[in-house]
Amino acid sequence: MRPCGRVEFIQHVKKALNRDDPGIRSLADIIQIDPNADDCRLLEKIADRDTHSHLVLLERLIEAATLVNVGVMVEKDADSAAASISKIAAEKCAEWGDQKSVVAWDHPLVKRLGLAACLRPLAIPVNFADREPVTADRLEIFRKHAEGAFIGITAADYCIAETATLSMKTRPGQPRCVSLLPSIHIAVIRIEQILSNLNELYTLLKWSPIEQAEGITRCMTFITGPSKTADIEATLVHGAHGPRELYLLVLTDSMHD
Amino acid sequence: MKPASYQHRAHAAINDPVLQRALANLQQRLGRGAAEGYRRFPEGPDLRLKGHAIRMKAVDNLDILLDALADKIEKNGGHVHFAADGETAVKRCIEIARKYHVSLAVKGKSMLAEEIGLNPALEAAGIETVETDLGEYIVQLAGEAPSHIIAPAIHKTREAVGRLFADKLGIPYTDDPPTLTHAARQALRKKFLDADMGISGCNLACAETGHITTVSNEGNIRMATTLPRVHVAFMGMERIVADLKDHAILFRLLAMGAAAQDMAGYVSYIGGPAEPGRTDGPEAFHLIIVDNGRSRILADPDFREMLCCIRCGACLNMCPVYGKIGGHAYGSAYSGPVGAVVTPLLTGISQASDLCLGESLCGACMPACPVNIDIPRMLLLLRAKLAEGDASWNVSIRSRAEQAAFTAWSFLIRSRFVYEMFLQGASIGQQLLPGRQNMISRLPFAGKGWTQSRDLRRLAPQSFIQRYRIERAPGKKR
Repeated sequence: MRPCGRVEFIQHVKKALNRDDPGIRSLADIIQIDPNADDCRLLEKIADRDTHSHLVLLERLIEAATLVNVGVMVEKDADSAAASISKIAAEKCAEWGDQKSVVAWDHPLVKRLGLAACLRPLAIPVNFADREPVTADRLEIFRKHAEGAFIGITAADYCIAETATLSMKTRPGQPRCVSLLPSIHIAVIRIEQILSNLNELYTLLKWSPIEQAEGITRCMTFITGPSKTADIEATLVHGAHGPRELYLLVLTDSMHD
Repeated sequence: MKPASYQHRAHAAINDPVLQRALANLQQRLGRGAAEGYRRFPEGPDLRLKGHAIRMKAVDNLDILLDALADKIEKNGGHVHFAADGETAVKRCIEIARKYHVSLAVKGKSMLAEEIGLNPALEAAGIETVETDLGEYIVQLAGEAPSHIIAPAIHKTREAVGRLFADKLGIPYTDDPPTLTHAARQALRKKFLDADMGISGCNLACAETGHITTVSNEGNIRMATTLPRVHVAFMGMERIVADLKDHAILFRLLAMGAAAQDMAGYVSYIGGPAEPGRTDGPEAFHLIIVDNGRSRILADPDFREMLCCIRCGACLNMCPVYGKIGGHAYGSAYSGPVGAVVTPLLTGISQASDLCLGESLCGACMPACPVNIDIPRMLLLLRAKLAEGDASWNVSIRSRAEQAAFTAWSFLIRSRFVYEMFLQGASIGQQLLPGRQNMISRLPFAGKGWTQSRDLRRLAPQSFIQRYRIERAPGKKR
């Protein structure tokens, strides 16, 4: 058995490569360091989108969403979004226990909906994630809430129109399990967060100064549709492990702000 | 792997009508779906060539990329381990499990883990290890091996799964896939919540940002990497690209090749344990980067291209040989055309010679591959090594008799006189062979294998050259 510390391992790989170009020494020699003209054009195009082009993207998103079983609801303001959520909450059944409960991100867009008030008539409690550094006991409590919840409500960083893909990083108050453990995942976005395709998303992640400053974070997730499997005789079934249903609420009111 | 067992297993698969139906259905659906998907790319099917170039660039600079990845993950509080072989990788994983007092581990699908025999080793160390991909879970409950990279339980009918679940999970028998999936969801949810450790593979790491990525449709890998206290990820050392720009292309190719999808259900970038004070995510993150024979492939310019493979299984869905003999016949973690090249290279070309000899060289795997790997070229090269021997790969000549036969044949066809003498002799000799009309049903000696499952046409009374001479003879009309 050959020794396998990091140095020996990399040295062994280097030997196997037998590279003929000695000019390549670090990652900077391989990857593009600054945005090229195409990248800049695309960043500008994304930044300059007007109301009309956002509506065109929304149309495309709705089309793509049907193909991957995402229910898109276009909401004119926070009140109508909240009404849609309480309608879903009233209609759907609890899966993990008898009591219906909701977990949600502590995110401005989600907070704006006034969920606690709109779900109170249905006697459905809403538990928000802590934004402050979480102590072990608070962590345990939220985990129990997430395990029992039938609806999880999150925001998202972007939504890709072409494939109906949501992207989200991890931040304080925005735990990953809210989009994972509950039976139904509802994501709330503003119409301006819709991008055209995956290439736009990666261009932003790689070159946008804000994205660069934040980095990818410890965990970034792309979500396309509810959890699904086709492992038994290639029959498509939703709700293998994660959410069985996925709804996307698109707020259009910010367009007129 | 004994020569007889490959043939035996292949024979059994061909005579299993249920398996034949399942394989035909899979290839019809996924194989054709991916082929159409490639044509639908806005950039056109040439996106595959771009994917190939990206992967080749990554493999050619592997030392730099691995160094950058390890630096960033360690900076984010993760641990990176390097393992020269499977045994070391498994040992590391057990050490990690012991350090964190792990008794239950939940696992997402990882081909590498299959390759290095992780599950039996963990079980032997007293760590309960539960497969959580539905297909893998079915196969694990049944005590079998996966038979397809993406659809591990493709060989099982809904009735067989129903009986299995009734027996092992104690649910009433049903053959309804949604009900069966729901039963697995219930059983595995408990495991996810109770597990101390989550184990995943790595689809394609990103050197620039310092992340591994995991891809699934079920969400099981997100569960396994979010809920338990510890996350251990296994990564074949070649599964990395330079930057996010490369990912933008490769994830579309991967989703199309693997499942004929525009985008996979869940893609996660993981770059370390959760930051302190966060609501969820593991406290500890360990990445185990494994060589296990890959550096040897890397060092051979003829086979380096094979390290571009992203293990999507697309070649299985087009291969006429896989489509008949199924995954179990290959007797290795990797089946189909990818298995026929990778398994001999990893475990020994002579030891796994049946795998590359069994493929048909039809070339269907290359256009099926999302990164356009020239598998047919490498299959042919492996066969050449078996025929002629190669000391650098420890391959001895597979059959001296075969070599002698081809030497004789080459002598025979180089002289018109000798060749015609042979034909004359053969056309007399063939009358002694059994068969009907103009077909021979059984050849003697070494030719026996050829006629085992097919007949051979008898030599025509006149050869082409003889007819040509007569028909073109002076005085005859053309």
